[in-house]
Amino acid sequence: MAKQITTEDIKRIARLANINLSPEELETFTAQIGDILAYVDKLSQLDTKGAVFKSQTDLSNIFREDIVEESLSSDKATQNRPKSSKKGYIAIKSVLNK
Amino acid sequence: MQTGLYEPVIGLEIHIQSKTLSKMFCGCDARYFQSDPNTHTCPVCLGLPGALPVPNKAAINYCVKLAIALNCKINENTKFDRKNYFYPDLPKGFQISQYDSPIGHTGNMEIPSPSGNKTVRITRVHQEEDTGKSIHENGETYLDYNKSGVPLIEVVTEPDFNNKEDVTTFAKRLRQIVRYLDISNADMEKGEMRFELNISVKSSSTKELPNYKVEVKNIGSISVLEKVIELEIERQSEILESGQTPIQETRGLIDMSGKTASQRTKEAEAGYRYFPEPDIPLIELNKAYVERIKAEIIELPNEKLARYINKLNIDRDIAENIISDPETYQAFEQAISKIDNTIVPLFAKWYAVEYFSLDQAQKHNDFKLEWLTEIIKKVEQREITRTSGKEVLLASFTTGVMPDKIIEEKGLRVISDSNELESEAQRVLEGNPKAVSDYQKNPNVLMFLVGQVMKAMGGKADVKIVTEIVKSKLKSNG
Amino acid sequence: MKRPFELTVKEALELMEKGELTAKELVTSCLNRVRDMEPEINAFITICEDSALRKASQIDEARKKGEILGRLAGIPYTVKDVYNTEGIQTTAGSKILEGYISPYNATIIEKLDGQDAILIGKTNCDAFGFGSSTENSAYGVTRNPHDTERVPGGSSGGSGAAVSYGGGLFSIGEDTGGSIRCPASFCGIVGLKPTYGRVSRFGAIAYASSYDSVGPMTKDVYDNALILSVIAGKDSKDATSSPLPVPDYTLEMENTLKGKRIGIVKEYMNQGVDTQVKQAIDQAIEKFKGLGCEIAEVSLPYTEYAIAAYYLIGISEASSNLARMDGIRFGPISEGSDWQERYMNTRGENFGAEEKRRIILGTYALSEGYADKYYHKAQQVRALLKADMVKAFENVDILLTPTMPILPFKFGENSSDPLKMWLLDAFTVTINPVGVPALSVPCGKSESGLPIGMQLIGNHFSEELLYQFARNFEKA
Repeated sequence: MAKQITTEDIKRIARLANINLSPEELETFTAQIGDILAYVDKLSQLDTKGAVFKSQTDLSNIFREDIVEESLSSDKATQNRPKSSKKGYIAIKSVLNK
Repeated sequence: MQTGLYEPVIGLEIHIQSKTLSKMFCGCDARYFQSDPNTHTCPVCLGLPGALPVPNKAAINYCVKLAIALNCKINENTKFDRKNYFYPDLPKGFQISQYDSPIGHTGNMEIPSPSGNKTVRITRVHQEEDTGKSIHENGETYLDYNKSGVPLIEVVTEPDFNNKEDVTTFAKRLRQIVRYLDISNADMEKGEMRFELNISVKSSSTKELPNYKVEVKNIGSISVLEKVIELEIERQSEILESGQTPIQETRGLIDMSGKTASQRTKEAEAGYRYFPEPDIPLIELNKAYVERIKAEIIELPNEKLARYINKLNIDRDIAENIISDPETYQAFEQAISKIDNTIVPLFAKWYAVEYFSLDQAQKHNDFKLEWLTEIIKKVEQREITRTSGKEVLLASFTTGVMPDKIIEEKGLRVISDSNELESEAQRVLEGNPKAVSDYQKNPNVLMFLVGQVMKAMGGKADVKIVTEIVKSKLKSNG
Repeated sequence: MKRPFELTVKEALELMEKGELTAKELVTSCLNRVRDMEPEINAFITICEDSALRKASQIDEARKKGEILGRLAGIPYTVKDVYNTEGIQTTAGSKILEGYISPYNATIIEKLDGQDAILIGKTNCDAFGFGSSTENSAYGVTRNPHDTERVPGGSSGGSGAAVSYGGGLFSIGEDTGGSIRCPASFCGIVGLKPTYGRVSRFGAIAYASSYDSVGPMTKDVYDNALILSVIAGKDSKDATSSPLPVPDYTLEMENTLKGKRIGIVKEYMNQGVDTQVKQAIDQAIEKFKGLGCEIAEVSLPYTEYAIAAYYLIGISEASSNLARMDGIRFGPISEGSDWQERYMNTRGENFGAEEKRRIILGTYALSEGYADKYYHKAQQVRALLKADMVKAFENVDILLTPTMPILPFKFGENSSDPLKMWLLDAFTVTINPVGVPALSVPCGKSESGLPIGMQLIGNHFSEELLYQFARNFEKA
């Protein structure tokens, strides 16, 4: 029987997933996720000894040759952001904590 | 700090950029150094939604090669895994790396140590991809993804080091190996080889490993690595002295002095949620393939050193010098292929000492290494003195003129006519009667007298013959 | 006499070849239809009117000059808004990609463009594929053209509705746990989830990398086989794409079904299936018997664990795939006191509730101390599900099930309870973890005229067989 998941747990995991939740969401999600976890818990009843999932295809050793292909222009690479003062770069507010 | 009271326990993690033409999972040109920002990117290495990775065959070959060179066991069944964490220069929000089945594991490398040879255990060698680059300026962070996706080989050692010198020897040797194998230029100024340190400190009197570990990330040169080790030993020893245990944490460099500061991240605490990369099928490295890669490996530094010392009778220091990088030893081995084995040790000395210093100071003027052999032969055959030999080398190196001609021009041929030498020796002995009588009590007088003859001959006499002549005259006198 | 937007692909191609219809007329007809229907249905997020008309004129010109044209020349189509289209907005139905202009085309777009098909729009969907009703889109709900009070199914609900009402003659949906099959069933059209790896995923915004399947949604079986023939095949940019050769899927469809064996899954019969759905399926079984098929009962003993295993793996992969939505290179970015706050706010404010729930669950299922119990355990169950399926096919050629256990439901009926919504996928979710193909074909209507679909499941790479069953059924 899985232990009940708490709001603190959800908050911690959300932080790990880089998601800010509102207090309402926190409360609702805790209940909903709790229900889902209780449901998926049925898997622990199953004896899966010896069952090994290797891969969803039978393929192996799929590689590319070491050949250079054309890259995007820096304009195209950065087209979803406004042009930064430093040409060609993508600018964001500093990640250095004050 | 009292040395001998505490000693470090050090493990090293090294990241090496492979010198492939294209990136690890896409066809962008991997040679991005000093290119304009974001000009070597595509949907894959930019981590755009919907893009998929396809692994570079050559990069895998390079990683396998290094793993073999480090005596690793090669995992026949290997795969890529996702290492999940957030950082602006990591566009997908995960790095494609390897977790529980790395390409190579359980290897070793031998290094020379003051106390004899030391075996450093290699935990693993695996393949992953590099991140983008961030520049922090003016309250902003500027992102350039040219470096994102460049192939990176990671080498991890066991915490087998207990002093700073062994760490630097290892780092240098690894760099050598990587360059020998031609899988990376390992130019640290270009960020092609970087270090991470795992360091703790324990009392010298206990055998038990410390119960904590400090990780220092992103060290870009061996000199800084040394400084970090020194400062960390100091910092951690002080904490231990005060009766506490240093915090287990990740630290980063503050500046090039080696000083570090804590850099705790939530992933370092909570783990990276590794799982197999579903977009890349499994990889099988069968025995035939491993043998094929192994066959491509030429003589590695340790072997070459041993051969130079034991088979070619070259002095250890000289040998270390010559094997230090591929260009140097390749030129050397080419040159000695044309000379007699007996001359090789001497050639090596001249090559590693005289020739090197010239070569580093200036560009030569069409100098041919065979000429070095000629000069050496003439010195050995006592046609010119050793000093003259160096003079000829310098002249020949700078002017591109053949040694024979220079010897002629400068009149450097040694005088070995015994009659001429006899008479001069006689003259010197007659001019130094006190010295002659002192000879009985003080054998060093011989050297003085020989010196006088040499001086009179303008240094162009064969010193061996002069010494014999003076000696026999002194004997007959006494 | 059909209006152009009512034609099938096959019919339209024939008419255009005969010179009785131009591409411009066809595209215009569809665009007008879209204009008429969209205020109510809302199947489209982006309509590509100008570029479509331009291309149509080019194709008509080329045809006049006698130039060689592609296999789908002049055919207007849509794609679910998870496919990257260069220069055209791609949102995946989420606010976090609002305004995102991709610098590249998905491989299927290149292939369809290459065959001169004409893209007329990007269709609505549950954000990132997270849903079975298209109620989880940031761009409004899509209404079922058969009954606008009801959902069109999901997550490719926009594609289902568009094909159903004639907004384009076919669509490319994407199926991770039923996202093509469910809307195909609810909208009364044909939808194929191909074998995993049959069609390239390059440029398809990922939900669950080891499940996602790119597939055609069409008005009939022939069209579906034709489109699959065009889009299938190995792609050097997708390492998981199959190198198996691509046949012309339209060729063997008419072969007789005499002696073929159909498996009815024992465990599915207890799953709370709506009576009218059960009735339609029973009638379909009778029809197949009439075509010479033998019916056998098969067992998939791990069925009751399928949903749990499916979701645990799916959301784990999804949580990782969605980590790249960080507001840095694209998408909206929120304020915050430091970079971590900005990250968290960007994602918190722009992901919908279902997205956030799944990401959080997926992160949890992979996290230290829980990965063994959830993610790894689920993968082991996956192996058992696969073994189940392989065993079932030892005895029969295909399996037949209802696509959905219920009729298209009303808006809001299931959306307040996420788990309840998940359980509606009972018949479709086992397929993706195993990777086999499944085709949803209309097999009847409810009393009030709501479409009912049946699901034909085949072994890996048995699409030809599935089409054979479906075509014969359609004809009979």
